[in-house]
Order: sequence, then structure tokens, then C-alpha cells
Amino acid sequence: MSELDSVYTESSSLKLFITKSFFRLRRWLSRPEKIMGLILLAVLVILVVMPLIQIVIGASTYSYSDVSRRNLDAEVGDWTIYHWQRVVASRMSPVLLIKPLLHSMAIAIGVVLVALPLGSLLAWLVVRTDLPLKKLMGNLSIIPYVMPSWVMALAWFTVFKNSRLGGAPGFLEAMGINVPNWLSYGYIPIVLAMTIHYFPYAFILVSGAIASMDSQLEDTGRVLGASQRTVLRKITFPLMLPALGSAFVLIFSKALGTFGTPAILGLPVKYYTVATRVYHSIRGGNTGSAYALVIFLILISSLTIYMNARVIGVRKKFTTIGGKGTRVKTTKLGRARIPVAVIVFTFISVCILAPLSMLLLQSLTLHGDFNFSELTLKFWIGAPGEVYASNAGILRDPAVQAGMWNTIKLAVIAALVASFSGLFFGYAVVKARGSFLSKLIENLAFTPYIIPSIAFGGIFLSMFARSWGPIPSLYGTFTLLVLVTVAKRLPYTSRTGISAMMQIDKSLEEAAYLRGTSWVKRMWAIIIPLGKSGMMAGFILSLITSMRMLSLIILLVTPKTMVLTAMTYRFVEQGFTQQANAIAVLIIIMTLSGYFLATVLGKSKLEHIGG
Amino acid sequence: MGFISLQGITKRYGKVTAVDHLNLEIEKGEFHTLLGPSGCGKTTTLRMIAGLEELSEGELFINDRCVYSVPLAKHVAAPDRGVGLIFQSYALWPHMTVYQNVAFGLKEKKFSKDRIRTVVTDMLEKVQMNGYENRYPSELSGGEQQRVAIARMVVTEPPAFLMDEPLSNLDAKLRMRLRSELKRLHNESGATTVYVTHDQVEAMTLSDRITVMQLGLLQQDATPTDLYNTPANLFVADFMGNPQVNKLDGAIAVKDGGKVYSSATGSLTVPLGDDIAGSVSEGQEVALVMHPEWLKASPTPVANSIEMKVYVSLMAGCETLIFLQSDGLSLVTREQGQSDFQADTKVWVTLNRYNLYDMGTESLVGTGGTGESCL
Repeated sequence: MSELDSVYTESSSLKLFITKSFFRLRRWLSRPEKIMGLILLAVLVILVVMPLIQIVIGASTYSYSDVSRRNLDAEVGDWTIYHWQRVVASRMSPVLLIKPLLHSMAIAIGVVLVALPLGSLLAWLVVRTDLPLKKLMGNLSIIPYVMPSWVMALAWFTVFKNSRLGGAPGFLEAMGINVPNWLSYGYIPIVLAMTIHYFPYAFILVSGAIASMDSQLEDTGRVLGASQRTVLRKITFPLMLPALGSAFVLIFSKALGTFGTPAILGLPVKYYTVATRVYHSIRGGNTGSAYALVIFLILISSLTIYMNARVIGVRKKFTTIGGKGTRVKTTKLGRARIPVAVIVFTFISVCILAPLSMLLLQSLTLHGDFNFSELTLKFWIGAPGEVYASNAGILRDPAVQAGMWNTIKLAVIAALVASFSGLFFGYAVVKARGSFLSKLIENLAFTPYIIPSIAFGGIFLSMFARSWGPIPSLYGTFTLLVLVTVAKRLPYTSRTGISAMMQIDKSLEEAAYLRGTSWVKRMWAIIIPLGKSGMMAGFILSLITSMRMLSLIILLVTPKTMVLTAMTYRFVEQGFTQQANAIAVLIIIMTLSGYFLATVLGKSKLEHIGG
Repeated sequence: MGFISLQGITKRYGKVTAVDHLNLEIEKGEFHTLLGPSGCGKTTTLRMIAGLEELSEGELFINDRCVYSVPLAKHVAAPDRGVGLIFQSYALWPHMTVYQNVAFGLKEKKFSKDRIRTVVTDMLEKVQMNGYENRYPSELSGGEQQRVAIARMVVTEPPAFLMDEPLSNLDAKLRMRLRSELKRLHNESGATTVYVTHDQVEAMTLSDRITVMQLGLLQQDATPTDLYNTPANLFVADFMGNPQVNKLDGAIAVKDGGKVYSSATGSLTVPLGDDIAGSVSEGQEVALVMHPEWLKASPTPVANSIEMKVYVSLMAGCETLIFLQSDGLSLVTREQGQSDFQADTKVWVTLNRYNLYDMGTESLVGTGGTGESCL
């Protein structure tokens, strides 16, 4: 005690203050979750904050191409409102902003209006009725989600493309049926093709909510004398609202920023959305205008999320849903049972099998015209020079083989990095729950959600084209593809990681800490084994997503780092229909086998797609 | 200084103060309980002793060694403090077998394989869990899990045991059994034990000494008997009630030249003894607090009693609680065994003992009554 007294009496208060502050800092830094939080914060600054700043700067300064192309009396990097003016208030603004924005909004609303009721109805049928083969139908309903969204666009062309454009006609046209333009290109096809990919999002989220809702809550309403309809309106629907809200936001913001489908079905007839306009502006060197457009998209996405949060409210995040004693009562469909089953089954099969078989079929006909007297395998296994120009059939084309290898490599590495970083995020956020750092990294990790993929790719392109301090120029490297994939998936992987870590009571780690176990050993012996199943689910999802993504990497791939999705798109652009289709089939097979392997191996669940 | 010494321990989370300048001496070999409602800071205190939470202020000594001091910039990490901890959730690693769970700490201490086997086997035998070596925690009942958690803590022979509500997840019968096992464990090992609970009966039955806390502040630090008989303030008095205490608000009045307690509602007056009378003044607002067994209800009129009516009588086999009412007064008394009081019958109540509290400071003024009726 005398030691302590002397400290108080002999030291000046300043010295004491310094000792105290230094001690507190040292203690703070001795906590692994804080160190990890700081490291992750640094990563987030590089991968999320800087890109966002870069968008704003890019939209408000002159770029190199601006200066060189128009002989401006300005330096590269000078501040300007030129891009904003050009996008918002110039002769060009209807073309650059107004029309594309209206198109994007119309598409997003259209997709939500069709996909949400469709997915919800399907969810109700599968979870709460006596529909036959429910389980099979439930599993099949998820498959369009596993398949790439732009595949639906390609498949649409195989059936509905008319002869207005050159190249291989669609099936109907080949059979001599005239397909009107509105059914071949533009709004209607885009909405329908996207709906096929997005209704499973609503299905997954809503069926999860229905399945975990205790039907005693509804029974109580019935017992108190309410009619079935009143119960549906006053109890069931409000309880479903959070899930419907999440599905709405998810589908709306995805559809708003998606690139592949509107590019394939819209660009041939100059039907632009913001995403395709951004793509063209960046490719054409007008990055400033592109970024200004991106900021509009980000604002709309943010507004949707904000309004959803306001409408649903935090208080209504129902904890009564789920828990013990959940009983699910099934509604009897009666005489409608079999007809409904047939309709559902047909619908799902068409969604899955039609695209696959039509793509495959067209890739087997010589002129892509469904003339079955001229069947050929040359687009698949033709020798070099046998297909157009010097190309070989896709399975013998070294470029395609390299692309396939790149695709697998990218998917596996990105998924590994993503799932481990998700775990680390979970650890840093959950262990430091309540602290400022924890909240900050949790929110920053969610930010890529509101940045459309095409824009995210565009920013990474301009950001990493040159070296940044210790970070070398990454353009054209495989690392850049991994980085952008991991960064874009952060909202999902960090959530998976956080929920996995929430399952692990903090005392489990503390019990080991008390016995003197080092942090590395605690991670290795306690945290990772216990978080494994959560990480596995995250890994599978990232794997599938990385294999099928197009918008994110289309601006970043180079011949050396070419992946299959980008390759298909290049073939589409060049009008090589059969090769594009063949590779699309290959990608479908790859993603589906990845998915089946995962469901068999890991019992993984696709419940973390939601926001 | 005690074996564990807390000197001005404070813990703040942002603006919330969880533990506020707590001073406490826990003697060597003592079974010391931190008691209080949830959120009172007892678990935080325990975790600070264990080294799982940092202190915001104050010094902490274990076994005459300073283990945490901000001004001295001193910090001894949890594993080097020589304490074992049992968590409320047991914190058994679900992916390890019973054997692996218990052996974990020994492996960290770099014991040889053979030695680990002997020690773990002995330990599991002691907690009657031999034969369960290869089970996983999920294959055990709550009580069995608790025994494994105890084994895991005791096996490294720490000189102090810390226990955070170890019995709260068990059903009532099992809790009783494990209480006696914990007491036995303490007797045999002689380890200083700090025990956290919100259950005052559990605290009474197990402890040598109890510290009652509320809102981060120490309320009373005393032996179980003193705590029960003379709670230092109204909060402790109310908290120690089992199931509840009688608390009657009133004021000091003067009657026949002597100071009396006079109830605010009804017409109960209690003459005060000289020792109390000296420390109260006329008009002072006070509360009269009595455990139910300090009252006695008689079916026939007796001297120095008040007449009341039975509101309801709850017979629990070993004891009977009788709830009584008269104009403006509600009281509860406890009778040993099975009493038969019908509702709405008249009874005559005598008062054998009471504690008097000042309503302003809420602290104890004095104790009255000698077992005879003091009305």
C-alpha cells in the first residue's frame, strides 16, 4: 500500500494523468477484438470508404480524358460541376440520366410487383398448405436463384428474339411466328427475365418467416372470434411485414442496379438503364458522368432502405416469431390441391428447364436457327478454325479452358477469403458489442449493399489503376478480382459471421482465456470449430455468387484474368450466339453442381441472402 | 488485508456506472456471496476479480498481490491471478468431450499425458461423473453439465473459486442437491470462494458472509444472521424477505409521555424502548419492518394484541403463510407446520420483534422486541 500512496503523493497530477492514459491505451490494445476491429476498419477504409469518396471526387473533378479530349483550360483533378451539369441540366440529360433512371425505376418496380407476390404465394403454398411434393417444390424454387440472372436474358433471346436484329433468330421466329418487338426487346422481356431470377429471393425470405411463425398466434385470433380473413389481415400479414419488407428492399435495389439482363435485352434496341449507361460511359471514358449517375442510384437505394426501416420500424422486429412450441398448421387446399400442384410444378420446371434446354438446343444447331437437320457439336468440341474465324469449340478452346480455370480459382479463393473475413468481422463486432468501433465496422461492412455492382467494379477500376502508397497498381491482376468480390460480398459475409458468432456464448472463449490459452489457440480450438457451420454456409453462398457474377467484374477482367461470365458477354456482344449459349450452359452446370454438392455435404441453408 | 481485496473498485460503461467505488475484503477460506437483483453489478464485480473486465478505477489485490491498479499501471492477466471461474451457462465447450473439457486446463499447464489421465479420472470420480468421459456436453443433463464445469474449474487447483450464478439454470430440486455439493466442495478444498447469486435463500444457506449490492453500490456486508435479523436499510430488508417482509409506514408520536410508533393507516401503535426512543424525534417519518415469523396470530383473544381478519391462508406443508387485514393494515405471518385458519375469521396478532427505519435515509434506526409481545 505504501507503494500506492507514494504514487499519489509524489507524482505531479500531470505525470499521473500521462501514466493513467498510457496504461489505459495499453490495456485497450491488449484486447484482440479491438486490434482486429482496427485492422478491419483499415480494410474497410480501403475497400469501401475510399471507393465511395472516389465516386464523389470522380463526379466532381476533371479526369484525364476530359482534359485531353476537349482541350480544356484545366488541370486533371480540378474541381468542376461540369459532370453534374451535363447529367442533370443539359441537352444530354434526358439521354444520360432521365430516361435511364425512369427505365431503371420502372424495371425495379415491375420486378418487385411480379416477383414479390409470386414468391410469397409460393412460400405460403409450400409451407402452410397440404400441397403434394412440398419439399421437392421448395427445393426446386430456389434453383432459379442459383442460376445467373443474365442467363434468363440469354434464354429469353433463344425463344423470343425476332429478326429485327441480325444473328441467330429465336425459336418462335425460326418456326415462322412473327414476334413483336415489345416481346423481343426492352421493358417487358427485362422484367420477366429478371422476375424468374428474383422471385426465389421473396420465396426464401417469406417462407422462412412463415415457417417460424407460431400458428397459435393465429389460432388465438380465431378463438377470439375473428374471421379467417380478419386474422389474415390483422395478424398474419403484419407479422409477415418485416420479411416482405426485406424482400422488397432486396429485390428492388438489386433490380435497380443490375447490369447483365438489361444489357443483353435492352442495349440492342438502345434501351438504356442507369447501370448500362454507367457501363457505356465508363467504357467511353466519361467516368465523371458515370459516377454522377452512380450517386443517383446509391441515393435511391439508400432511400429505399431508410423507408423500409421507417415503415417496418425497429420495435416490430418480432421476437415472438420463432422460439419454442412453434406449431405450423396446414391449410387444406381441397379439390384445388392437384390442379394447383400441377400449375406450380409446371411453372418451376419452365423456370429451370426451359432456359437450360433452349440454350443447349440452340448451341447445337449450325446457324442457331433450330433447324434440327443441321445439328452439330462443333460449337462444343470443334477443332480450331472449324468455328468462326480461328475459334475452336468451347471445350477445346484454350481461352475458354483458361476462363473456366480462372472462374473456379476466383470463386474458391474469394469464397475462402470472404468466409474467413466474415468470421473475423463477427468476432470483432460481437465481442466488442456496444462500442463505437463495433458499430462503425458493422455499418461500414453493410455499405457495399447500396452500391450497384457495375459501379463498384468501375470504382475499383479507376482506384487501383495506379498505386496508392503501399498498395501497388492492381489493374489486370487476379488479386483485384478477389478484392472486389470480397468487398461486394461484405454485407452478406459479415452478417453470416455476426450471426455465427452470436451463437457462441462469450464465456466459451473466456473459459479458455482463464486457463492461459493464447488468442491464436483460442481462435483455432474454440471459435473456428464452433463457427464452422455458419462459415460453411457463407462459403457456399460466396462460391455460387462468385461463379455467376457478371456486373461486378465485367469492367475489371483482362484477357489474362478472363472468367466465363465475362467471356459469354463478350461473345454476346460479338454476336457469337452458339458459343455464348454453350458457355452459359457450362456456367449453369457449374453453379448447380456447386449448389447440390453444398446441400449434400454441408446442409447449408440459403437464409442469409436478405439484408 | 483480505485474501481478495477490492479498494474503490469502479466500472463504467459509457455513462452507466455498473459498480461504484466498491470496497470489500474477502478473507482467506471464506465463502463470500455477492447478492443482489439483476443489474446490481455483482456479476461485473466477479468478472473484474477474475480478470475478464478492466477496472475503470480502483485497486484490486489477490493474495497480497496487486493485480490491477490504474495509478500504478499494474495489470496481472486473468490466467496468472490464480482464480477458477464457473459461468452461469457453464461454458462447457460443446465440441469437446467431458474428458477433453476437464483436461484442457492441464494441457495448457503442460502436464504429461499420464498425469493428465490420472488427475482427470480422479476429478471426475470426485464429482461422480466417472463413466461419462466420452460424452459430449449436449448429451448431459443440466446437473451433470454443472458437475463437469465444477470439475473443470477445480482440477487446476486454483486457490480461489469464483462462481457466477452456477445453479440458476437448474430446477428447484437439483438446485438444493447441488447447493450441498458446492458447500461440501468448499469445506473440503478450503479455497476462498466468491459466489454470485440473486437468490437470498441460496446466499443464506451457503455463505459465511454476504455482500448485498444494488445499482452498483454496496448496501450491506454482513454474516447471514445479521443480514436477516438487522438489515442495514430498507432495500436490504425488502430484498431479504422470504417471500416478503411486512413493512408499515408511519411516524413517531408521543403518547402518555413516551415515544411510540404510530402507523400511517390503521391504528397500530408500538411503544418504543429507551434505546430507540433516544434516537428518534416526534413527527419523524419511519417504517416498521418485520419478518412474517416475528408476528403471531392467535385464534383466541390474547393480551397486547391487535384484532385482524384472515384474508387468505396458504398452507405449504411445512409452514403456513397467513395474510391478514384490518382497517388499513395488511400483514403476513408465518406459522410452523399446518395451521388451519379459515378466510374471514377473526385473529389476534402479537408482535414479538421489529426493525425501525428512517424514511428519509432509509437506514436502520434500531431493533425492538425481545420475543414477548411488544404492543
